[in-house]
Amino acid sequence: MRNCSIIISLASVVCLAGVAIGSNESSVSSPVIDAMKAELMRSFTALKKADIPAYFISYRLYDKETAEVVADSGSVTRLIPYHRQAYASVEVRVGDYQLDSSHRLINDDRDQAESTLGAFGIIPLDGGKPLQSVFWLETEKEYRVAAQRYGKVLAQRGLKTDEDECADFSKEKPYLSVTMEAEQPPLNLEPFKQSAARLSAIFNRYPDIEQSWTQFKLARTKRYLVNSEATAVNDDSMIINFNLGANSTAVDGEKIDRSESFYFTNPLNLSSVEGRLEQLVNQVASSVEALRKAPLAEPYCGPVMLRGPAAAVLFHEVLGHRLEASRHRDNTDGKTFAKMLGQKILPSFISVYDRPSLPRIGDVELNGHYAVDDDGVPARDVTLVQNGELKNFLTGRTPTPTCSASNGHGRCGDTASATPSSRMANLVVESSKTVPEEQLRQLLLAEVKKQGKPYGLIIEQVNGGETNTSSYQPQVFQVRPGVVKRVYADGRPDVLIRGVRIIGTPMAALQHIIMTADKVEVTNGYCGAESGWVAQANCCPSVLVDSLEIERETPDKGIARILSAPEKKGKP
Amino acid sequence: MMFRFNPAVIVLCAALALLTGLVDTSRAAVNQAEPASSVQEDLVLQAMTDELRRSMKELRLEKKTRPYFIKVTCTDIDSIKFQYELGKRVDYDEHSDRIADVEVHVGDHKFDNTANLTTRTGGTTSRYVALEDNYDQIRRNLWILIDDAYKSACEDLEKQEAYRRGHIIRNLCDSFSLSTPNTSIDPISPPLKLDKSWETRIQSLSSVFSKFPEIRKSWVVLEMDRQIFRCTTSEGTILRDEWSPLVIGVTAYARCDDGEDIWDCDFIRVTSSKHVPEQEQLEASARRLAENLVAYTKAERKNYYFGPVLFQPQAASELLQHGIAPKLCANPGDNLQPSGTLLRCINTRILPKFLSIADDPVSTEIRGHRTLGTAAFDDEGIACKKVQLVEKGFLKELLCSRTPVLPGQTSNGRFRSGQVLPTTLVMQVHQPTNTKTLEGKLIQLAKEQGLKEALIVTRIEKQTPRVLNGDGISGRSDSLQRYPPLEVYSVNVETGKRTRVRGLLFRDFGLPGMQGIVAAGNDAVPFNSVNWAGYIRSVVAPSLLVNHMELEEDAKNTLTPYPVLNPNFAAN
Repeated sequence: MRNCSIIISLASVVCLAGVAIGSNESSVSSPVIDAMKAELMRSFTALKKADIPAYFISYRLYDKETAEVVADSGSVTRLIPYHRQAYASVEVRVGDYQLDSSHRLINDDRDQAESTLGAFGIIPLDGGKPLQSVFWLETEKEYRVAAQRYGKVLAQRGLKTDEDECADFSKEKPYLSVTMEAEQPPLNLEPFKQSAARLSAIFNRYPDIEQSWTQFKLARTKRYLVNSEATAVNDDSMIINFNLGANSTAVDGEKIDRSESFYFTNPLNLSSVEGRLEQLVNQVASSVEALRKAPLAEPYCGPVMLRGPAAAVLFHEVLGHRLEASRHRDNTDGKTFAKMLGQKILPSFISVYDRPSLPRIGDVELNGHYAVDDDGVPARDVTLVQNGELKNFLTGRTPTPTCSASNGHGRCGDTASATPSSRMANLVVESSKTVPEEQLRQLLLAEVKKQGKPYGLIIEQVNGGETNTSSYQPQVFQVRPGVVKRVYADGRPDVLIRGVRIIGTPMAALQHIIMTADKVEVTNGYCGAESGWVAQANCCPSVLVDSLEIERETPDKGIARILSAPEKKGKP
Repeated sequence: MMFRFNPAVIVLCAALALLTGLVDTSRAAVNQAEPASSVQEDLVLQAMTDELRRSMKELRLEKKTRPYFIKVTCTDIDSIKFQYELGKRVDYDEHSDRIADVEVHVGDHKFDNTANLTTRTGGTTSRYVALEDNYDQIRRNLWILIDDAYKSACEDLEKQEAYRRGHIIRNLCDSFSLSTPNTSIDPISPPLKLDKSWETRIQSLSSVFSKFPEIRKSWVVLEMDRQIFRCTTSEGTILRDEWSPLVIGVTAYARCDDGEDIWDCDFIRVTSSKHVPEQEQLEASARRLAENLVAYTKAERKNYYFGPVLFQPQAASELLQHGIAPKLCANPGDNLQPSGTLLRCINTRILPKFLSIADDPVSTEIRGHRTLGTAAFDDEGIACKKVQLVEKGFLKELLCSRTPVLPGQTSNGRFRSGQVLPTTLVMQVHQPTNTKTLEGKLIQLAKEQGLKEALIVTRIEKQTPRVLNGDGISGRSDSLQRYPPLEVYSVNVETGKRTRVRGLLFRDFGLPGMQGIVAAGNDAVPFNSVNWAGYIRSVVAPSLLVNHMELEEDAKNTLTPYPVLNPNFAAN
């Protein structure tokens, strides 16, 4: 959801590193970009002549304005009317594109920063010398680290056989996209305060809920990127995140916890989404109350129907993370699909894409929409799997044996310490074997009967998931559903169950999809990995799986509250 | 939070006839009549007291004992903070929180769940509650917090008892000391409001450093808080305490020619904006800081010294604060684990006979200078009393909390932010020596020891207000070794010529060091500093002459020159 209003692509122009810096091809200028360019030019000119020369420098700056309100039971409990802070991030590379200071080492622990000054993460916001000064200090620190690390890289050459020899950094064409910095209206938290309090009061209608909260987080981020290859980009994004959660204690003492999120980009749309938010609060509240009385799940292996949001998390954890190519450079990674290009990895009616260019599906905005990645490379839509066959990977500027260039998926969190690596944006799952949603349930029941099982499962909502891609541990994933129902073959009413966890191994799990629904549902969220938290969307239809394994979630057990809730006296 | 700078409040140290150990003091006290002006008009206090009373009366698990003590606190924090660097704003933050916290004791004061013999159960004891005075919301959250804390306390008590049965515990003391209730209600002032002129003043102050090319980085922070602390205990204590500190912190960094990085910081902390010095004074102080830092970079580097040292008043205060004060603070658990506290030295001589030390929370001024360590109650709701710690060289008492570390010990009200801390430490001299004579004695001692030079330390540490991005230093781990002295002069014993020196580190200042103080001056002035949690402590000490001290080289490696100049002062 980044908005680039003026984009001047230099894709067809060959710029030599360093030559274009300082010149201004665009008629538009930004004081922040100008200061960053000036300092980069100064530092790069000196450091490329140093004893251990730098061959690449990039500067990133994230200027974040945030406001936040949390409410509980109709009252505001935490208020951050305004917070503004900017983070600078500097990357210095020593060596050359083929072998540089980022090359993986045998004992790959980053040296402590050479400077004792520490990181000066927060920086002046309106350009000029003070801003240059921050980048100057950070450049020194990163240069010292890179120079020392490069020494180690050279020392280890010949001591270790690289499994896959390829360059350390991809050459990319410079990209210029500089927008006029318009004065932005201040973040206005007032309507969100009222809404958070009002929405949190809905929980008061549910007497079995012990604790609950609603939260609005408004975040406006201006991003600035420049590098020694002449790339210069600035853009801005706005995201409003509504979170809510509620908990209770089941009759057997197990803790019940549910949470949900909703995202939108225009603060003025609050009133138009409030109905949806109210619905979400009621959904969570009623599911917590219902889960209190629900029976515990039993270990199960059999047919399962995953509704769109649940299936989306499954694809994200099982497939998406394993198609992020920068992991394939890591010898400790399991590299599940690294050498399977051209091979069938999914049923032939399934195709998977990553489409950062897609701003919305229907009226739902997608979190993972952007024009340029955090390496300054234009985002490209990528066909990952076509008709079940693996076609491509998500790449940033770290080449792999199968991908020598970036496809604009080098992403990182907007903090000082994050460095871009290949990440998902808008993961879209499409199917050519579909039935209407209602019919999918009928097919589930048919499959249950066919397998002679007493019941099947419908996973409606999920709380989250995790996957391990490291070779140190088994290649397994887990998804933690929030709302799961048993659907009986003999026609008994559905039964809500609690304490469910989906487990499996990636190669097997997705092969068992036998049918999908005809409608794609969007699950927006933030994904956390090595390069920080990035906004991301998963778009997926409901799927029917003929076999999925379910285990009991580790119980968080206590005992019920000793005293009843205090008697209400009403607000003063 | 428990510091009050305007003692014009109602203090009713109710001398309730508590029959120590013979009656159930908690329930007896909580049933005392409450002052009408407090609980009934303050809905927050009312919710706290009502839920506390209900819990004391009704909370009990089957086969477990009831709580014998509960404390409930609620802290309101309104905060505005911003930061400028060379005239540019770099950070702005504003927030409001109200945090409720509970403490539950099960067992009896001789042995309870807090005995600390073995690991205790974790768990949440605090939570954000309604910013508006929503009685129902606050009470409901307290119900859950107390319920959770009570269950953890029951489990902990059994764990502690099981450990005690299987071990011979040396130096076991009571788990908790009883107290008479205190009642004190501060008036509440209007919400925090920032006068816009502060932005201009801080901006201007930050610009002072633009005249110092040697300063690599600098910034100025202003933080205004309004904190309201409410505390109720089952012994009948009811407190409401308000304070509104304002802090201005100035930080600057420089680098010596040999690559040693050095930073310094100064802060002004006042209880009301009207006490902030005039702008000219602030700017002069910032200039002094810069000049002093530049002088440090040009100082001669030393690698060893063993001989007499004269600590001038500020350095002597810091010596008292870091070298002596931690040994006078008895923290929970010191009886079970050796900790450096002088527990075994009560009634023995630890200092020369001409020195005494008191901790005086009542004092507000010494020799016409304001002291800021004033405190009325600590975080446990105990009144802070003046404590004569050392009397003519003999250790008489230690500062302590409600967790005794010596048999029969009761709290003297020094428990703040989870540790025992002094308020205003005053070193008293019974046979003072004038400054000139002290310097003469220093030279004489050096000559007797065959030295060509002697050391005068005028300042040891940088200030570390908590507003400065975390470099928090816990009072508990205070030790002279942590602080390379910032301002040290070498005096030629023949010519009397003073030379600024650097690069030395203190060895620790143990009992022999304390005994080695041979003379003290008559020039004591208060030195105010702040600990990591934001508590101000004042230390008052005269010049001190120590006959032998060892300082060794700070052998940390430094950096080679960097080829890019500071952009603030380099020609582009």
